Amino acid sequence: MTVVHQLLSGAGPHDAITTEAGVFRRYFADWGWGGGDYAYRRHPALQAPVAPAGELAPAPDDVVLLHHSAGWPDLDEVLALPGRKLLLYHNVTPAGWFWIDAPGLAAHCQVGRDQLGPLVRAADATAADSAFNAGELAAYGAHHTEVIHLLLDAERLGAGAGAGVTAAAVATASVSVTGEADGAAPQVLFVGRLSPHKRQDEVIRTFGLFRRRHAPGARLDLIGDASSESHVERLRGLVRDHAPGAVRIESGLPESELARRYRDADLFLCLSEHEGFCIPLLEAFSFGVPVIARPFGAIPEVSGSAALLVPDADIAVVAELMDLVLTDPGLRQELVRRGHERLDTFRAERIAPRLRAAVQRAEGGLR
Amino acid sequence: MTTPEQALALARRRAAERRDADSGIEPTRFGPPYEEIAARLSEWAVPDPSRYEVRSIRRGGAPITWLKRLLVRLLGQFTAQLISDQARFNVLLLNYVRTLETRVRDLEAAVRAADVVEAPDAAEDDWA
Repeated sequence: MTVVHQLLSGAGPHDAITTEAGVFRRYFADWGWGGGDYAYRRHPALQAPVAPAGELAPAPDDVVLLHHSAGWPDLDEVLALPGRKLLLYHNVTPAGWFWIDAPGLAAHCQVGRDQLGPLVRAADATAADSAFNAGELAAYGAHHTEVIHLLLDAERLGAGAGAGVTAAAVATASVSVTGEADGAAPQVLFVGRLSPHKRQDEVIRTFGLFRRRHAPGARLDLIGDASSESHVERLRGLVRDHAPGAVRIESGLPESELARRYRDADLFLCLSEHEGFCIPLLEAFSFGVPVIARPFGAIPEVSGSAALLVPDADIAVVAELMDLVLTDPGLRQELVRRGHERLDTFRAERIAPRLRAAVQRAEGGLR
Repeated sequence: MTTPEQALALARRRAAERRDADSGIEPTRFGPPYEEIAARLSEWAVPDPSRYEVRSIRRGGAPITWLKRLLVRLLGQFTAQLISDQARFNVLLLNYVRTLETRVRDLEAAVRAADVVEAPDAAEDDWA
């Protein structure tokens, strides 16, 4: 019987990697595979059955799936584990983004990147969330990396994330909306960690310009956990300068409330400069929200042609693009339709076989 | 209707038409803020931990916060010595690296001036 153990550097109740490990475990159980899940750091509120890493004792034929998203506290111990190793790379944000506001996190990211070389050399097989991440692994010598896209957990955000709602959004996109035409002020949304590389600073500046030029009543929601208090303070300062009273910066929203924000949004504006995957794009698609984004990291790969990708440094171009999306019903409808179609690429049925193939590759020891 | 493929070009045209009104808007600076990091190295070389971070975030953690801060205060003389020793090392090391950087720059300039060999482009400023 195939036995796959999963090892995480940290596990928490709202952590995307922990969630994915849980989904994988369900697949493994469905396939009749055994094994357990382990983590070095476990959040006290963690409900998932994740044991301390010290209890992991794989047999030589077992597969140990290493979820790499940050530095390992003791890499030598990880590399010395018996069993076949499958490295799954979730990306590590370059430390340069964090030195100013979160030096501890920056050091952690630096270590995580420095550990990539030894991890790739020790792995019997490699996998990554995206082709972008696979490309980063290739730079460290990985020859054949299976791309296992992150799964959109539609249930997590409630019924609003279902395809039915998306279909409804497609149908009504041409007549609903935005702008001042129907009396409702446009609602702009970005969901993602409040962190320098996500460029919420640029979202605020761009939104401020858009608001002055096109929609004085427009509102912006920035939702995500903070990488540091000082960074959030900096963002609040930008709000005071560029769009006072029109921006909400929030963390720790319950999932039902997050779903409501997606449902209420007229536009998803993502100016992030580093993304190993970017699941909020898929969430926006699933709620029928048109997306404008930067073409960085894995964003073009995830969005395909369903988002408007804008590389321009001139934020006036982004502001004009926002106005176009919010005032041209045909454009909006087409983006919503493409977003709906794009979700098909990331269906679980397409992703599970790749997971299985990666594990089998590790079992066979082929790179 | 504008297609998604046409939208960016149209937005660029509209932005260009408004160029005068947009004067003074800073373009986005892409990439991590390496210049600011370099400028603040001296400041960071001297550890200055915030007492605010010494706290308990548990429910009813106020007495624990008070106790932690009291301990920090009681150990103040000892930690001040540690900080000053560490700051001395950090600042001197930083000075040394900057001296080396200046020497490398001077050498590259000399090589270019002598036209002996074409000097390589300066390494990208992504060391952080």
